[in-house]
Amino acid sequence: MLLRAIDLHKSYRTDDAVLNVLQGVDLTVDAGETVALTGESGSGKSTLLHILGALDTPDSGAVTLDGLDVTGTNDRGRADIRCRLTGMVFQQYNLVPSLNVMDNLRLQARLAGRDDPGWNNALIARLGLTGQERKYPEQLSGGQQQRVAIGRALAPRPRLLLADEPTGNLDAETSDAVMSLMLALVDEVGAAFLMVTHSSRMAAMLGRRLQLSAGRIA
Amino acid sequence: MGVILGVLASHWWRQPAQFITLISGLAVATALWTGVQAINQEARTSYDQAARILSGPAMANLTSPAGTMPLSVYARLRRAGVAAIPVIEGRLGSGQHDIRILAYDFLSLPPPDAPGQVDDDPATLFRDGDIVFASPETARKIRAEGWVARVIETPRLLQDQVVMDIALGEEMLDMYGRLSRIMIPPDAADQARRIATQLTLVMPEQATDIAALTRSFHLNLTAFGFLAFAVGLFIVHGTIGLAFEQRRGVFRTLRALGTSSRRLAVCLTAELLTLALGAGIIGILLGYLIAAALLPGVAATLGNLYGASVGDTLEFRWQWAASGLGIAVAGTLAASAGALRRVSTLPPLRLHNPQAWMARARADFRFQSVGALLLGGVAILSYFFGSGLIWGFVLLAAVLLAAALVLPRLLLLLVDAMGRTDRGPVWGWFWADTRQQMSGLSLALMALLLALAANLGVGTMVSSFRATFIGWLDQRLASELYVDTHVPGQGAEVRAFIEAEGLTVLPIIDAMSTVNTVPTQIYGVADHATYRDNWPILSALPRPWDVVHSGQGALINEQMANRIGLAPGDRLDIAPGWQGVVAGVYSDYGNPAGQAILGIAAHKVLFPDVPETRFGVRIPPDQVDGLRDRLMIAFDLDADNFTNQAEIKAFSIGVFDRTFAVSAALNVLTLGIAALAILTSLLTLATFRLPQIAPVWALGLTRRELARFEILRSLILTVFTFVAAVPVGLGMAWILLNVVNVQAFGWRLPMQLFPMDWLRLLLFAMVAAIAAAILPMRRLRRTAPADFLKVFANDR
Repeated sequence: MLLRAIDLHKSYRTDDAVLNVLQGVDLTVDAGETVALTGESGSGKSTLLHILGALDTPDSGAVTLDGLDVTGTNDRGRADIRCRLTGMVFQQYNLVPSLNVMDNLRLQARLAGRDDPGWNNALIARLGLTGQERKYPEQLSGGQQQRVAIGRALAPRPRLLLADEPTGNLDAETSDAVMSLMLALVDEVGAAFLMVTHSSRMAAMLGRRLQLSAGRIA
Repeated sequence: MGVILGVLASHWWRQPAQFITLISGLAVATALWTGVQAINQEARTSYDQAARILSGPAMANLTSPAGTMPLSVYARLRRAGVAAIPVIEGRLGSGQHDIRILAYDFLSLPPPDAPGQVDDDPATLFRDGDIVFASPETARKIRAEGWVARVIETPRLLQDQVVMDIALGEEMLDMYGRLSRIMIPPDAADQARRIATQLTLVMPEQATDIAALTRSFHLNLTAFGFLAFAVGLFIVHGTIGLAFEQRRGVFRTLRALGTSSRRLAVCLTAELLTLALGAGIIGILLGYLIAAALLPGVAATLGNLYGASVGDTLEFRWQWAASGLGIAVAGTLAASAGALRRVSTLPPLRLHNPQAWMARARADFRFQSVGALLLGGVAILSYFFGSGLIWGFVLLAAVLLAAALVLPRLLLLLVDAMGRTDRGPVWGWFWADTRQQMSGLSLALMALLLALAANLGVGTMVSSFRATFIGWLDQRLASELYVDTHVPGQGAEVRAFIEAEGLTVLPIIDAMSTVNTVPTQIYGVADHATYRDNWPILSALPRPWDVVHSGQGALINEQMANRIGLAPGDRLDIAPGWQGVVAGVYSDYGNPAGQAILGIAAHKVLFPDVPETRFGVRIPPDQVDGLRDRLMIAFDLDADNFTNQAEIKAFSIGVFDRTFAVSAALNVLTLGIAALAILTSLLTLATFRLPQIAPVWALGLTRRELARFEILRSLILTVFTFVAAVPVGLGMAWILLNVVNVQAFGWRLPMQLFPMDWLRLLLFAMVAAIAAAILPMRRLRRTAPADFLKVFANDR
């Protein structure tokens, strides 16, 4: 078992109420497994993904990743987990606007100390970005930017790839292409894949589907 | 670390304009600070050199109220075994090219940087004829003129200063048998006092220290430099803050990719330090240029105001360069502390959240308001309980900073009030949009407030001073012509000649004395309506001139009254054998020394040796030239013996204007920096504006209309800031006139208002605001519709 979450709780306080987003989530993901996390808007999918990816902390509960205690460690420990064990693909791409395609793609690998020029070039080719290496994000289409973001997440060969609506800004045709590419690369790297999505079609492309409802895995 | 630093640096590589504004803001701020420090240090070094050369190590001085003393006094001291050193001082030449001569006995005290063998046998100095010592530049002048055989260059001497043996000095200055002063060892003071009863003994610690005298002037300059730096810091704060804001997404990405908050903060600090050092070095070089440009003016001012000699060429010194670099680094870190704190404390996912960032900014506004309140408290405490010049500046700084800190909140209230006026949806959007921009513009507006308030305050002070000074000159220089025969015996003849023409002659005699350790010039004046009607008396006993001419009292100048703590009616000991009361206090602007006025009869009893060589003459102005010509022919006098009232006034006003030329230059530079602050803020804000403007453009406003709104916003905020700056500036002027000036110079001046100056400043500020807004406006007007559409396509 690669990832395990036990009894996760998370709530947000607004001006006039307390919003209980996660109310005892338990889940496990095995190495190399692909999992879709679905649920209605506001059901807490992204919150859960951020906690599993060591970007946020729960109010209570525990997460272990590759045997490491994600929730019990400090900011530096969580940063180390993000850097070495996980790759993250956001809906908004979140590329660094002042870096070109190749530098964006290498960024996490360099931070993790795993910069591999051969693998980087292979990723560029597999992602269909050959000839675009010197371009800046603003010069790319949305689909291209998302492919750079996927390359960046997979460049350090993470154990777990997390994706938050990665095709949410793309048309159906591009979405399918990006999805197929991601699954192929995940398989090649040997990483587990956990993806938040609204789309049943996308969810169906993955090995397992989890439904988040009323703050719990249904 | 290297990867993160590379990512951070890539931002500046892609945003060169923002990089240039950041570097130029910090460099300009450092430059003004460094320039002022360089000027101050150059002056202090000059004073130190002068003190070393003129006085020697801790020597006491015997001086005469009459200005000079007979050589016989020196002979009496030597015969009594006192190791006295005779000194002659004077000037050769005329106008600006005077050479200041200091002549003393080289056999008693070897000259500065004399050849090595002199210590063994001082007589070797005279073996090859006359010898003088001068700075390299002065030495070149002397050699060119060829008036002395040997000139030895010594960098320890000031420009236009020459040291020579007393024998040569008395010949060149035509002072045979007379001395300017006698230096004696302090331990021989009692003996000297017994021998030279008619002379004044000034111990080394009592001597008027030129460095102390000019301290207030340098403190003023330092305060200005600091103000300029503070205004510059607002630019840095604004630019760095916005650079942080622009890179929020990058910070989030870096954190999401595994960078800890600590490592990110360390990298950002390293980036800032590098920028600060780079900009600091540029600032130091610019500061050198500013100082080199201002130094001649400052040297002239110090010479005119205090008689202090300052070289007008600037040397590069590590002390002010290090201080510039230090303040650039400290300032950058201070300016970026808030932004760094936000990066370190916000969770990674909230780093890109504008609401979270704005909430922090709102917290900063609250923090600023609390800071303003605390500073208000400091101002009140320093006004009521502080004393001394430093407290005056603390009061000034507290008032200015409190006003700057409270400004954003005040402007928000105003903008909200304007937003509530129902003028249609476009204006509703305009005020809401203005409110949203306040957090980005507030720092620039605070800088503008400081600059405007400083301009108003210093401008009001200088203009009030000028108006008062001119009025005072009219009162003080009531006689139309002043005559100085220079030769004691000739005075009585000249006086008789003038009186024979039926004109009124007012003798002017003076002597030096020490009153309560303050070196004081004691004047004797005739009993005449000229004084009774015109003298600028500030406070007095009833019928003060009657008290003075009865020999029971004296008038003293304001500086002396403040320094000793005297008021009308207080007891006063002017010289041995005279005790009386302070009959009144009069204003005496531009004079750093103490001064007192006795009736002429009392003066003659106290100082019988003082010759009558100077007179004021009451004469119709159109007859001045005629009388002068007749006197020149009758007594073989030349133009140097006469001073026309109009010429003195013109000269004095010229001195005044030159004195404040440096303040005016720094004022303009500070305002320029504030304009730069607005420009940088607007330019940086412009890069964020598209998502805010695109929806309004889509709803039907043209780019031209939007651009006009941008200009209008800049103008409105500038005018609001100016309105806020007026009371702050007037408060500053009041503090300068009633607290700082009294402490620094000993003068209290009435405050006058100059609304036309305010109007000029408002127009200048509006022009600066328009100039600052033009570039972002042009960018907006040229934004392609496709760029607006991208906002929606990207769904930012």
